[in-house]
Amino acid sequence: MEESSDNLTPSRDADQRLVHALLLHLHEQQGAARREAQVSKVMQAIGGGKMGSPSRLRIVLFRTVYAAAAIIFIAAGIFFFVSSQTPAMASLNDILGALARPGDRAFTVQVEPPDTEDPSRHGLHNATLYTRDGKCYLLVRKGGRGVELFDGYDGRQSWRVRNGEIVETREGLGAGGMGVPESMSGALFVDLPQILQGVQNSYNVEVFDSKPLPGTAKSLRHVLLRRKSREVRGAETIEIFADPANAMPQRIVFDQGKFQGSPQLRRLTFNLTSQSPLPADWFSPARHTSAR
Amino acid sequence: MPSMPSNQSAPIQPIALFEILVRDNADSLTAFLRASVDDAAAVDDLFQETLLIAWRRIGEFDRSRPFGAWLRGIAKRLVLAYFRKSARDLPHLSEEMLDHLDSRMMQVDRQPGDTLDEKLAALRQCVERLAPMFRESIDFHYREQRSTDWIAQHLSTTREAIQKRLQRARTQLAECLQRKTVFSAST
Repeated sequence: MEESSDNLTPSRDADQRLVHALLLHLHEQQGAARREAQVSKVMQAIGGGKMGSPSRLRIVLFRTVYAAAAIIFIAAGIFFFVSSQTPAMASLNDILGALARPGDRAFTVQVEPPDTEDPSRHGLHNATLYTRDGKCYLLVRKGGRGVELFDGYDGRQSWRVRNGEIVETREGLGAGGMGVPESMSGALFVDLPQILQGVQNSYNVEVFDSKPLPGTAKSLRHVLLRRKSREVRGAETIEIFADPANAMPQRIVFDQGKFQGSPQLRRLTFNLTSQSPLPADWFSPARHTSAR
Repeated sequence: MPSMPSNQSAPIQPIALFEILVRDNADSLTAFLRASVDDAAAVDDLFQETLLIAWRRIGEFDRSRPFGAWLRGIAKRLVLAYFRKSARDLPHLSEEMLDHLDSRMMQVDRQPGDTLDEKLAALRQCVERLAPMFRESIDFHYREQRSTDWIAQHLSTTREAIQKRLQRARTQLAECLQRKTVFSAST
C-alpha cells in the first residue's frame, strides 16, 4: 500500500490495509489464473514427495451442505472394512458399497427451513444432484437472482456453467466453489476408510427394523448415525433409508446441521429419484451451455 | 486390512482433499497476506511457504476450526518472521494488528457466497456509494491500476492529496462495512 496511513489507530490502520487488499482482489486481472499457478506449483512440490507423507491428513467434518453431496459422490471411491464390524457398521458399509456401484443416479435436495439469508444457498433447496460411477457429479440449482447454476465434475476437470455460459473450469475438483471446506457444514465427507473410522469415533451407528417411508409401501432399512458429542462438527444425526434388496439409499437426511454463516439448524435431505442412464455427455459443461 | 473391489475407481487421496481445501481458501489467504505485507513478491513467497508448512503440519489441523483460519495462523507466524528479517524502514505490522486482520478475514469468510468475490458484494455496494471524488480515485487506482502520480497529474493535484483521498476513501469503506455488519465493531 503506497499511501500514507499516518494518524490511524492500529485497528483502523489494519482495516484500511484489509480494504486495500480486498479492493485489489476485486479488481485484479488474471488473479484466478495467478492463484491457480501458485497452487499448482505448491501441489507439484507436495505431490513430488518433497513434503512428507499424505497419510497424516485426517477425516474432516465439514461445515456445509456440499458435504452431503460429496458423501454420495465420493462414496464410489471407497475402501471397505471387511472385519471388526458391528451389524450397524456392516449395514453402513453395505450402503456405501451400493453407492459405489457403477451407474447414473439423480437425487433431489431439500433444505428445511430454506435459507433466506443467502440466495446462493437458498438455491440448494430443490437442487438436483446427478452422479455417475462415483467419478462424475453435477449439481443443478438456482443461485442468486434466479440464475441457473451447473456445478460439475467430469472425472478430469470441475466446471461451473452460469446462465448458459461456462464461467470456470479447473483441473481436478474445486471449480465454482464446489470444492468444499468452508462451504461444507453439518455433514460427513471424504476419504474412507477414515470416514468409517471417523464415524466410529464421532457417531453412534444404529440400525433399525425395516419400515416404509411415509406415503410409500416399500420397507426400507433404516440406519441412524447420531453425533456422540457437541464437540463433533457436523449434523446431529444422519439417517439413511436404504433398499434392503441392494442397500441402495433411497433417502439420506442430515439433520440439525449448520450452514456456513448461519446459526440456524437445518435439515438437508437427499432423495434418490432416478437410476436411469443419463446422456453420455451429461457431465460435460458444453452440454449445459446455451450455445448447445 | 481394507480391500477395494476391482470395479471401483481409486479413492480420493488426502493430497487431493488438501488441494481442494487450499483452492477454496487461496483468495482469502492472499487477501490476508496482501493486507499484512506491502511487497507483492513477498506475498507470493509467503503464500507458497504457508501452504507447504500447512501440508507438513496437516496432522495438527484442528478440525473444529475453519481451515482458512488455520492457514492464516501459519501465515501470521511467517509474516512476523518476515518482519524480523526485513529492513527496519519497511512498515511492520504488530502481532495485534495481524490478529485484528485475521478476525476481520474470519468475518468476511462468514459472509454469504461460495467465493471471496461473492462474499465481497457488500464492499462493491460501499464503493458505489462513495462520494464521486473518492469513487473516482478508487476507480483509477484499483480498477485501472493507475499510480498515485498518474492520478495526481490527471486530476491536476498533488500526489499527497491523492494519497490522502485514497486513505479517506478506504476509511469510509471500512466504516461502511461496519455499518453493513461485515466488520463487527467489537474487534
